[in-house]
Order: sequence, then C-alpha cells, then structure tokens
Amino acid sequence: MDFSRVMHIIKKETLTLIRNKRILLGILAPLFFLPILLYGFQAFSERTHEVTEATKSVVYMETDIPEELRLILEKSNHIELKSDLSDVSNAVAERKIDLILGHEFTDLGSHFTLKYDFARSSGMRASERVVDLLTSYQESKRQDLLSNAGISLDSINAFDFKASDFATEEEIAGKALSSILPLVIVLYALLSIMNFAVELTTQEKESETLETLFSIPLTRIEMVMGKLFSCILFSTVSTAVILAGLYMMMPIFIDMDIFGLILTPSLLINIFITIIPLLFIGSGLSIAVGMFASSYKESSAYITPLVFVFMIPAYVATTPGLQMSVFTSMIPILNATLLIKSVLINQMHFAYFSITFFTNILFAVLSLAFMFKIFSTEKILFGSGKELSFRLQRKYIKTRDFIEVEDVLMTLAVIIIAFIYAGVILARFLDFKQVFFISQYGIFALAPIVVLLYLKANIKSSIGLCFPEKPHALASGFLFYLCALSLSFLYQFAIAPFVTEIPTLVELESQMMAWSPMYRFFFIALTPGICEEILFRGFALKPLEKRWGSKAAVIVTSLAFAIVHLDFLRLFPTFLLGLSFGYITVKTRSIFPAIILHVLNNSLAIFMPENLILEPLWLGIIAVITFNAGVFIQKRK
Amino acid sequence: MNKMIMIYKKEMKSLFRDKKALLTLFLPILLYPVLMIFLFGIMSLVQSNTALEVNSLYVHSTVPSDWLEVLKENESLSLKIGEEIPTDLNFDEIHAYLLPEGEIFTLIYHSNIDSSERAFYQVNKTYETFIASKKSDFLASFNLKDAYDQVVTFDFEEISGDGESRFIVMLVGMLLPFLIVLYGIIGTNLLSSDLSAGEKERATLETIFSVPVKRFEIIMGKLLACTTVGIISGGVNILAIFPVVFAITANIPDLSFHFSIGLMMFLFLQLIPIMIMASALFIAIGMFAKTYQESQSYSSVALIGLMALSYIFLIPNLEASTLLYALPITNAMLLMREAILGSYPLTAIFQVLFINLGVSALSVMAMHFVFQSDWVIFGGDN
Repeated sequence: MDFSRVMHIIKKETLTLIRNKRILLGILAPLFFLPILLYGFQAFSERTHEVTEATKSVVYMETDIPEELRLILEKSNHIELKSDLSDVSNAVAERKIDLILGHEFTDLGSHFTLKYDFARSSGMRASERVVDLLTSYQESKRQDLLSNAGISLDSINAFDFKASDFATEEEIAGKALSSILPLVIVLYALLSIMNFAVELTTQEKESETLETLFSIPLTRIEMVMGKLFSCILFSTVSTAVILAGLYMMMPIFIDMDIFGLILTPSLLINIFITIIPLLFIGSGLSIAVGMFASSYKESSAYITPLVFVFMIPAYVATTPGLQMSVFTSMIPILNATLLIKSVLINQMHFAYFSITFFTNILFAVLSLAFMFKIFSTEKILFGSGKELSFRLQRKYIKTRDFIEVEDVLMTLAVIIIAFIYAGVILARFLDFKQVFFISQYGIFALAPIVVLLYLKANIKSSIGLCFPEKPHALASGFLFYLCALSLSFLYQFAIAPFVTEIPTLVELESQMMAWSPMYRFFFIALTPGICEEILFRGFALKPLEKRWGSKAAVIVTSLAFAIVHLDFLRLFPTFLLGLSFGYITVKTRSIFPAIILHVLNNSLAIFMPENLILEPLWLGIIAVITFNAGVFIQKRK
Repeated sequence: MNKMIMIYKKEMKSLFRDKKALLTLFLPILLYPVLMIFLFGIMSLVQSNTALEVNSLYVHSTVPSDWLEVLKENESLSLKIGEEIPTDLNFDEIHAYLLPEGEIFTLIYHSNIDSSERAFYQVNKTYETFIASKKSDFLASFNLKDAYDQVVTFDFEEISGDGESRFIVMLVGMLLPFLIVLYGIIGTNLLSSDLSAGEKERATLETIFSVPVKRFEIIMGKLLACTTVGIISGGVNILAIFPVVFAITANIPDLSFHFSIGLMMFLFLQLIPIMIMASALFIAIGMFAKTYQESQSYSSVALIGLMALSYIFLIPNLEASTLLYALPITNAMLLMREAILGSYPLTAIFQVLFINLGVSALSVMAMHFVFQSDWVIFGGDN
C-alpha cells in the first residue's frame, strides 16, 4: 500500500466533503442549535416549573372533613378547596378538579381517601401537597393522644441515625446530566458518520465516478483507506465540535449551579478517547452499508436499519440501574455510553475502560474487515440490485429454480411480523397449542411454501428435499453441532449468576411438564424442528447462498433464526446452533440433517435429566475437540 | 380537482413502485416489536441482577446489638463488623460504612455508586422498621398502639378506574404521540425532496408544466401525496407499537385503556394538520434546491426546528395550558396524550385544530408562492 496515494485520496475526499453544504451544515449546526436548544430547554423547564408551582391544586371535599384540617388546607397557598359541585364526574373529566378528598369517621379517629389521576402531574402534585398537610395534621393528632396519656416517644429513641452522602455536589450534579449527555454525544458522533459515509460512497456511485477512480493506478485498499480516513477525520472534527460546543455553551445557557457539573478539558479528552474506536466501528459499517445503495435516495433504505443498530445500544445505556460491568463493557456502543456516564460521575474504572477500549477496537477491526469485503465485491459495487419478483398477476412471473434474495428478505420480514402479531393477538383468544399450531405450521412452514409456489420456484431444490450428499459432511456437521451445544451450555453457566428464572418461562415449563412425553416431543421437538428448518435452512438459505456465498448465507439465516426466538438471553446460543444447522445444510445440500439435529437438540432440552451434572471444564474440552475434529474431517475431504 | 387527483395518483404510484422507499416506511412494524422484546429482556436482566445483589456494609462494633441483629437479618446486606473507624473510605469493596459520630450513628455512602446507594436504602429501611417496631412495642405497653396508628389514616385511589396500572397508560401517552409525529415528519421529509428537487434533478418538471395542468393543481397534488405518506408513516408507528401495548394491556384486567377505533381516528385527526404543515414546508424548501441531496441539506434545518417542537412535549411535568395549545405540533401532541388518558377537551380540540390548520394554510400559501416563482424553480445559480 502506497501511503502517498492514500493521502491523495484523503485530500480529494476532504475537498469534496468541504465543498458539500450539507456536510458543513451538519458539522457547524451544533454551534448554532446548541445555544437555542439548551436555552430553550432551560427556559421551558423553568417556565413550566414556575407555572406549576404557582398553580393552585383544586381539591374537592366529597364529605365534611374535620374543622381543624379544613383550616389547615384553607390556609395553604397551594390549595383551593371546593365543596359545592353539582356534577363531580364531569368536573373531573374537564379537569376542573385535581383531587377528591373523601373522609369517614372510624372507631379510633378519621380515615381519608385521596382520589386522583395517577397519570397526571396535576393529580400527583395535588396529592403531594395534601399528603404534606395531612401528615402534619396526623402528627398533631398523635401528639395530642400521647399528651393526654402523659407519655412521650422520645424515651424510645435510644440512638439517632443519619445518612451522609460522600459524593460531592459536583459529583451528584454530574449524575443528573450523566443520563442524557453520553447519549447525545455518542448518537451525534455515530449519526454524523453516516452523512459522511453516504457522501463518500453512494454519492460516488450516483455520479458514476467510482469507475473513473478504478481506472487510475490505485489499489482498492488504498482507495478504501483514503475514504475511511476521510470519514474518520470528519467524524472526529464533528465530535470535537459538539464537545467544544458543550464545553463553551453549557455554562452560559444552563444554570451550572443547579447541575454543579464542571466540564474540564481533561474530562472532555477522556470522553474523546472513548469515542475514537466507535468512530472506526461507525465508519467501517457506514461505508460498507453505503456501498449497497446506488443512489442518494436509495441510501436511506439501507441506512435506516443501521441507525437503529447504533441507537438501540445507546438508548439501552440509559436504562435505570444499568452500570459498567465486565458484561456491559463487552457490548459496543453500550459500553462507550456507560463509560462516558461513569466519567461524568467521576466513577471510571481503569479495568472497564480497558475492556471497553479493546472490545471496541476488536469490533472496529471486524467492521473494517466487513467494509473491505464489501469493497472487493464487484456485484455490490456495480450491481444494480434486483427488484422483488412479486407481481399482482402470476402469469408475469417466470418459472425458476430459486427465488431472489429480495423476495427472501421481504418474506422473512413479513413472516416475523406475522409471527409476533399472531402470537400477541391470538394468545388472547386461543390456547397455547392452537397458537403454536398456527405459528409453526401456518406461518413458519406453509407461508414460505406458498411464496415458493406463487413465485414458480422449484420446491424440491429450493427447500433441499433430497437425500444428503457427502457422508463426511454429515460427520463434520454433527461435530460442529456438538461444539455449538457445548458452547451453549457453557454460556448458560456463564450467565447463571446474573439471571433469575423468568416467570413466564417457568409457568410455561410447568405447563409442559403436565403433558405426556409424546405430546412434549411433538410440540417442542418435532414441530419446530421441521417448520423452523423449512423456513430458515430451506426457504431462505439457498437464494442467499447463491447471491452472497455460503458463509454470509449461514450467518444471516442464523441471525434471523436467533431473532425470531425473541429471547434476548438465548440469542447467542440460538445463533450458534443456527450456524451448525446452516453448515450441515450447505455441505450436504439437504435439509433433512438439519431437521434431525434440530429435533435432537429440542428433545435434549425436554428430556435431559434434571440431575445431570455438567462440568464447565469438560464442556470446554468437548467444544475444542469436536470443533477440531470437525475441521479435520472437513479438510481431509 | 380531477387534475389534482391525477397528479396525486402519479406521485403515489411512483412511491409505491419504489420498493426500497416502502421498506423504509414500513420498517418500524418489524423493528419496534423485536426491539422492545429485546429491550424488556435487557431490563429484566438488570432487575434480576439488582434483586440478587448483596451489598457490603462496614458496621462499627458500637452499634446497638438489637439493631445489629435486625441488620444481620437483611439478606441484601453483608456485614463486616470492625472496631476501627476507617479514614480512607473506598466504596468499591465496602459499599457503605455505619460509624458512630458522638451520640449519632452515621451511614456514609456514595450516591453516585449504585451498590452504595442500594446499601443506603437497605440500611435506612432496616432502621425505619427497627424504630417502628420499638415504637409499636412501647405504645402497646400503654395499650395505645391501635389508637396511635389509627387516629388519622389515609389511602389513595386511582380516579380513572385503571388502578395501579395507570402508569402504563401514562407511558403510552408519552411515547405514542412522540413516535407518530416524529416518524410522520421524517416520512414527509423523505418524500418531499423527491417531489420537489428530485423532479428538478430528473428534469421532469418542465414536462409536467407542458401538460394542461395549472401550477396550483400540480403543487396541491404533490402536497396531498406528501401528506398521505406522512400519515401512513404515523399510522405505521401506531401499528408497530400495537402488539407491545396490546400484550401489556391485555394482561391487566383492571385497565380501562384500549386502542379503540375512535382513539385511532382522533390521533389521525390531530396528525393531518401537522403533516400538511410539514409537507408544505419541506416541498417549499425543496423547490430552492436543484438536487435531491441539496434539498435534504436545506430541509434538515427545518427538520431540526420541527423536531425541537416535538421534543418540548417530553419536558417533565409539562401540562396542557393556553400557551402550549398555541404552539403548533406540541399542542397536537398534548391533545393526543389527553385522548390516550381518556380526556377529550372540546374547546382545546377546536382551538388546536384552528391554530394548526391556520399555520398549515400559511405553509401551503408559502409553498404555492414559491412554486409560482420561475426564478426559484428554473432560475439563479447564486
């Protein structure tokens, strides 16, 4: 690789991006919008607070209340008492009343009922105000009681207790801002990358200058590196601008005495270092995805899913109670957002910082590898991308062996949607078995077959309904399955300390235990083994393999297979099992081995003795041996 | 009118031919349920962790023995009893310290460290239980316990009939209007650039001008198409969030909230003026651009402005007021929230519709004015 040529590309791309108004606007916009947004937020929040504080809560007395309490309530500047309303329910509906105060005498005193809308701030505020006054009334009544009896509670308090917060005001205040600032910084950095990446890739394709670039004496790696570094350069500048903007403008527009946060240059540098590996991950992925689109308009279809991929982990980081741990440090984007949060509250641990940094570097390398792979694929760079084969009139559809990738993706999306919606809605009207039948046989098995028939594809070759080829592939596939199974058990050992039993699953399992073994085998092992394999290894795998190659096809179908199980905790083991099922299908050219393995796997889950002791060490050894044996058999043939 | 509908049909057909644009539009239907299920998974994992966590507490040996016994019974606390008063406090291994300070016992904790804060809650709870039990024994010895406890009592009742689950309706009321409006605006933004600058880029605008259709009819047809897409985007979001809301609400018997046709119609009614307003604004801005890409640059500024108005809705404790009802977009979102909470304030509905339709009319006039100008459409390189 000639670095002078890479520099040449960087210069060219930098000039292109600087000339682009949209890019400049995107970089400089925060400097203009931050003051407005920060001031606007502050002004609106203050105004809202002032108005709500000044507004009196309207309390309707449903019945007579003790005179002493009435006087306390009347004296309050925040409460307006009402007692003579003709239509109370109407007044509630029109929000003329915030709270209804009911009262009844009991044998030993008074009982009050506070009725209000738990979802409205006005109701909650009225309740807080009345409770404050009611508590002081309660205290005075209790004191009267004790005085009349001639006793005092002071004698029982042998000792006093108080709590003292070790955190400084700055640290506490930093926590308030730490929930939102990391999200803003990470999302802004990642989303701005997409803009640059689209300009560097899609724009090049749309203006048909990519061919011109390829005609000059430049290797593809040099070209990609040039584009990558330009993208990183601009995203670095963009991140620096927003950090500088926050540093300069927050003290001006936000009352820092309230938040107490001091944004020091060293703190900002710390945040910046955390962000850098993310810029590499974002740039690699965005450039790769941008290459799929052939026009600027089309790019939004490809970029939108990537936006969600970036946004979700960042939003998850704002989950209350979620903090840095070895586990969270290993999830990209989530780890950086949590790390910035810990930096803001002065609680950064070097160990978590190191894990985060290395994890993100690892993912950056993977995303760059993905980007290089895409850039070396001629079909993606210059292929026009096919349209869906679906037509309103079937006579216009040509007979074929396999359907197109676009048809597969669209059908998979529709099937997953139908599966989720049917699961949710039908569960209300039908029992578990009926919903299960509809989901498995109707949605997973029948729907793809109907699509294949409609699109005039060859059912036998599309699904792989043929005798398995290559016996050695059967052996290596089975060994890889054993490896995946061992790793799944190891994963369960790893997460066991962190996970309690999920109630719904426990309930479902107890229901299943009441069934006969044949019933359980049919519902849990045989049916999903056949139906899910028809969809993922039958319907979806072949067209993807034909277009993208076997590795990508197996990975994509395994990912869809894992997602459709809708269980976050079992995502990884399901993905691993999907890989082994995909592998054996690709190698044997038949769906039957995958069905058998799937049925076997689910049968194990049902019939495995509860008292069977599995040792992590042995599972690890089995995983290593089976994997190596599988590779050995595969290579030997 | 017929010509306007013809233009509308042409734009809608071109949208529906573009399968990838449709995919972007309908993506939330697939993504939201899947994402929410995974999000619930992560949150339950966090909650499980929190419930299982045992926090360590350093207890000085002078702590009264009866309280120490109560502390030992708390399974969420692991006690380390010592005679020294540590000076260098570290909250990583020992999460909180219970130390004597004259006559008082002080719990030193660090509120920014979750484990330490949880230790504080546990100790505080234990102390309150301990004191309540002592108080209760003391009063019982004078036969005053019941009288003391029941001299004044109070409880709370949810007025709408949803009971304790009312907070779910509150969450839906916050989330749904925001998603509908935001995604609707983004949807109109996607199409508007193609309808305005895209047409200029493909040089098909001249062709349209050559057919016997008035400019007003052309622009209104385009506006109608763009508004429809915005409403479809909003509708898609209602559909996307539906399984999650349905699954949650269906399992709560005392919840009166449900997705009725009336509620959906009301949400759409509030959405229409916003979509007209956003569409007209984006098309007008797009007309100044020569390419799709340039149009996206210009409209991103307007997009930020419109998004800022929808973010106001998320300010905590924001309540409907005359001032807020005068603010386009925010006002409609407040009314949507009211409807989800089960309230339909008639005066405010008319006021908001009047204001939003007025602003929409102004936007349409601005768009029409821009479209009449040859200088904007065909002119100036400046």
